[in-house]
Amino acid sequence: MAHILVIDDDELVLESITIGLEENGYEVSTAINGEKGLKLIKKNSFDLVITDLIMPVKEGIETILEAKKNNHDLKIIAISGGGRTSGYDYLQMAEKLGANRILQKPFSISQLIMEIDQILK
Amino acid sequence: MKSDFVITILLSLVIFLFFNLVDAFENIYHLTREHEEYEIDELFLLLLSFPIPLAWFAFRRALEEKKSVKERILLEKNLAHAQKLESLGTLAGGVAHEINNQLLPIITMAELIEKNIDQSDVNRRKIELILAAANNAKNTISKIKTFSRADNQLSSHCDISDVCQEIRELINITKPSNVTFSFQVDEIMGMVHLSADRLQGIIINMINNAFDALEGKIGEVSMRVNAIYVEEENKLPELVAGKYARIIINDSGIGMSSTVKEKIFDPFYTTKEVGQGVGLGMSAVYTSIKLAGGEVHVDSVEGEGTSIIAYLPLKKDE
Repeated sequence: MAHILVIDDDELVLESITIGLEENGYEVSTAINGEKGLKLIKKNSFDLVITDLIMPVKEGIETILEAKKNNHDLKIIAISGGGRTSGYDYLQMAEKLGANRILQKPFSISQLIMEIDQILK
Repeated sequence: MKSDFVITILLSLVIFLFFNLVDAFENIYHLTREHEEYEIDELFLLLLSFPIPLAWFAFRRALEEKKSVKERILLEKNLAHAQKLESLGTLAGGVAHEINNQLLPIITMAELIEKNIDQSDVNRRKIELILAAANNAKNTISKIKTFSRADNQLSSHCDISDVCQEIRELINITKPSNVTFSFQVDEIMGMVHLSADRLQGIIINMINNAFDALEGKIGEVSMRVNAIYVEEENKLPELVAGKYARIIINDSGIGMSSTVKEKIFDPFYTTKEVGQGVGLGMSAVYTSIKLAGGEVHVDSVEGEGTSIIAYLPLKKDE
């Protein structure tokens, strides 16, 4: 059973993704920001990390860069609801800086499972 | 400025020579009558000859001043409008981000419930309705994101003539029966800095607005697209000189008041009935055209009709 870490500052999003993944047979851990996520990454061995991009304390792109620095082979899916202040496409930036896949919120659980299957096969 | 000064000197000389000529005739006239004391001083004539061209020069300066004040007011107005739209764009981007997050639990949880209940379950239709409404909201947010420039559209380009031909076929099939639609597009124009999907979206939005302006009455809508050169001397203030594709959508509909004309590109501004549009179409059109380096103008007379004119820079040959 694959172990997945989900990082998102929105607790409803976090819980929804957790329920969706658990119903599909995955083991799930959660963190509410990048800093807490990175602590869990150092202590555990995750098969995949799903991280939001715009978060307080430590945002997603910084989290991806640090996580990849520790473990270059770590698989990451970046998720985001879009830019808050400008036309900069954070998701494309995340992809260039190490995310294996990107998903624009809101997505369905079946879309997410499809991406996970692709990445972990 | 320099030419005005040269003309002033030349005019003064002409007037001076004219006075000299008059003086010469007067001399002859007085000589014949032995009245030599009336001879006019040449220096006095020279001084007399300057005020007229100077007055002309001052008049021209005043006219130019008036024109430049008008242009400055127009530019300031455009700048204020652009700043207002930029702030609204920032706000819209923030709203889009928040709502996308809020929609995720609704869509994912409704999806899981839908999977787990029988086809005959009384709650099945209710869940389907939740999912459909959430997906509609997702589409609305996607339009807001276009306005807030959260979508990167500059990485692609398309052939404007090809896209227009596709639109022609589409419109001929879907146009309302009250509309006579005419279409005139130059065959070879070139590439514009927009994806084919985005350009199609822009033009179809403009055409649909023209259809709506007829309010179901019999009327005409036309689409004309041609390539033009915008020269440095006679260009619109917002455009740089160069080659542009000009798209003109005309309708013989109800036209717009000056208030509507001013707000047409504002997000969430709509004159349509509730449920017939949220007022994001034209703001998305405006943002897409601006991002592609172009400009869009509205000419409208209330009760007579409207022309929406979009200028899109044509890509230089590489």
